[in-house]
Amino acid sequence: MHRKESDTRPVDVKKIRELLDANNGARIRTWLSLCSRCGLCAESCFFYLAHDRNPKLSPAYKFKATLGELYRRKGRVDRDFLYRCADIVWGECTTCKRCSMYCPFGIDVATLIATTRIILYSQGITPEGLARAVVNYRETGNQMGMSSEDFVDTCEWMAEESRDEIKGVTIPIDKVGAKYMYTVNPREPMFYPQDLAMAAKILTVAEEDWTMPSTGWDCTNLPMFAGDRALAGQVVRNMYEKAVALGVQAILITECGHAYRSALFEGPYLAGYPDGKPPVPIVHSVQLFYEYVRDGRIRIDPAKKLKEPVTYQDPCNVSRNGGLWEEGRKLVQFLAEDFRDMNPNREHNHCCGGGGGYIPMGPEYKARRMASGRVKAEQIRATGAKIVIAPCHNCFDQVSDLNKEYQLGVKVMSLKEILCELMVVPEKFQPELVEEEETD
Amino acid sequence: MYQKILFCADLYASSDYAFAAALDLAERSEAELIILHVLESRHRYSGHVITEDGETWAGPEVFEKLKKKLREYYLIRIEREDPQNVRVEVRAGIPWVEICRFARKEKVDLIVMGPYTIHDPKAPLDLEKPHLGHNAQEVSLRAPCQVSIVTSPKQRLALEKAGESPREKKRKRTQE
Amino acid sequence: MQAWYAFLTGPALWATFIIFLGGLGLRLAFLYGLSRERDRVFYNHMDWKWGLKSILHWLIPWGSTSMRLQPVFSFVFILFHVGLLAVPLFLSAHNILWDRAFGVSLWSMSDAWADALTITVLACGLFLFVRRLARPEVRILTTAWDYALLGLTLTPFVTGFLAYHQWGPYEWLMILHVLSAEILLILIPFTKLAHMVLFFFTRAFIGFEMGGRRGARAW
Repeated sequence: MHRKESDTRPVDVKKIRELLDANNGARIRTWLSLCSRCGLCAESCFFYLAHDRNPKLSPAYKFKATLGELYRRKGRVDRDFLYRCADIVWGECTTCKRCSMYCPFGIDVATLIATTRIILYSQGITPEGLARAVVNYRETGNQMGMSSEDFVDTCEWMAEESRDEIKGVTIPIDKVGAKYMYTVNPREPMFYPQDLAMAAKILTVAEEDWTMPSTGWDCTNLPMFAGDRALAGQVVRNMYEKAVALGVQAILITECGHAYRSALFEGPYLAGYPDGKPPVPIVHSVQLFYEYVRDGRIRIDPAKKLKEPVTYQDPCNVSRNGGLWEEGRKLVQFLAEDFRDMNPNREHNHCCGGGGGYIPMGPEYKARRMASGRVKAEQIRATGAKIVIAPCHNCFDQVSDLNKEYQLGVKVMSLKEILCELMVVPEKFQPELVEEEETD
Repeated sequence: MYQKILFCADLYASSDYAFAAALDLAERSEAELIILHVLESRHRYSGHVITEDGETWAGPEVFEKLKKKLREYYLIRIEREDPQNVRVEVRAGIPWVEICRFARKEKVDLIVMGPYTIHDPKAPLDLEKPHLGHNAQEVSLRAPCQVSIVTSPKQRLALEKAGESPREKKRKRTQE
Repeated sequence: MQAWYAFLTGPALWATFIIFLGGLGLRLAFLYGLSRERDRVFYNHMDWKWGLKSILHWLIPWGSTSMRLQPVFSFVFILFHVGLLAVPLFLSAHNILWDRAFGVSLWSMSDAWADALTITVLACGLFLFVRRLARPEVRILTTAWDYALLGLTLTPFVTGFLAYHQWGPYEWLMILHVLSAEILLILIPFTKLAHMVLFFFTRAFIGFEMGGRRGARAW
């Protein structure tokens, strides 16, 4: 991020100090003090590895140069310094949390980076793409600025289309007391509404009791990545409160990474629930789809199983930070004949480079995203897979881009689309044939 | 007959025949002709679009610039000085998704489009073997109305045999 | 000379231990107080099984993926810590002093073992020092203070070893030995050296956070 010449606002040192103070709890104090500068974290970070082991990309360097400096100087910094920090905390970190697994003290660098983002945001600094999204969240409650009417209309459209293939598909809106309240990434209704159709088809065939809310349907949380902590909390509350109002048993999250992290792990704290638990249980699509296939609620046509070699992209926020790496893999075993795992995999898999707000940050960050994604590209290439399953929108887009950039020759697919292709549609859901008019 | 005809523009010669056909139909039916172009997004989900200025956000300036270009390219082919029933629209996203969404919302009666789009305008036209492109496929399968894929000028409307087109009539009148 | 020595092993030693233990205690109490208010996440998801695993995997050589990526370094730093703790606690000379002063003492290792461990600590220390210079990702982080603390940590071992073998001016060495050890102990509560206690807390936290909440193995 280069300094905007027009940005001559003075630095609000008082505000920075307030935030530094508010966050100076036991964890942050201890982490900043304890880091013994051993350098073990460096090798865990894909930014470091992709850029020829540039030591300035080790997690310890990144947090020391930003939050460490802010505390050391007690907030007395100039705007140039803040822009340099911004360049690091948004341009060189996706908060994937891999480094905290490699640090002898278990220092949670992602939290330190996120705290820095909050401070920078308070000074009006955040990447443009995230700033646009924040405005949308504020005005309409969702990141794409889609109105409730448009959203419900899109749902109706998709339900209509789906009825051509599966009888009786509906997307029930605001059904009280349903088992699951399905929440989506607004990029789905906005850009690829077929995702809604696919989910509806799967849930119909599994004979699930579900509903789509007319508000609070956005499970994403870009303000969390932008550094707007208050808005991040509000966004999560919208979703929680709708779920409580509808009296559903659980919130179902679409195939999205950070939505799960937001809803289940960080959200309760952002939204002000002191015990750290969401008011309603949260279930991720990967888990539910796996259970459907495991329990036979969705049967896979064995003739249609994917024959080409397949690999599984562990989205950081579904696998490592979500705990669902085994479920994802077990589901893929049902869907593919030739499964090839990446190395490393499961909770130790590398970040693809598209998360933490990176893809929404926009085209101006693309070159960096492609450079740091080299690690993921090499991992994919090494598996020899032709299909990459990516149950996360940002991983999906990032791997698609990496595919073009590094000529990997792969096709990226989501679990929904594979399930829709492969699932056996029981007799009762087969669409009725249109009666042919008799011609003489 | 038709009240709203949607022509899917791609700014390349591959859809010019389709435009001629759409225009013809619109005039015969005295329908509204909507010229729609969809700025293609790079990814499925991110909303960054590919323009001649590179990859960028789909903002109002981008749309206005494109509308201007569309008007220049297509409106000159319409003989009438001040076309009343012609509208230019721009959207951004995945082309077939946006075309279907637009058609549904506007309750369009007919979609007219070319068979495929040329991604590299520098390559000569005939190197591309005739084929049905991804957008044409998806639109014909999913559209809420009839879809007409026009590939060559030989595909005239059968109505022509039935009588002269309004343009023919007008030309004869002016010649007198 | 005798006066200095008597001071260092008398009142100064008392003060040192009070500051060392009291300081650590105070730091822990302070952090505890802060945490009840600002670090609820530490308490909300406690899972002792995961906390313990998180700690244990990092106490044994090559117990974590990260250590296995740098096997020599991880072995050296564990060995370094073993010697660092074992020698001061189980040296017969120290235990004789405790016995003389309070009538209690710990088990003592043989002097041959103590020698071997001391040399090990020094060798490991040298390795760590060179590593800080040699590895770019470590060098960029290392400050003068890191080098100083490392040097300070090794000083009691060097001086103790030399004094025991009576190589060099005995009295000066003994004064330096006690003084450096006292400075080190006093500094522990206020620097990164407090990791001797805080390690267990931060590791427990990441065990709860990654393991307890997600089942992810933070090692």
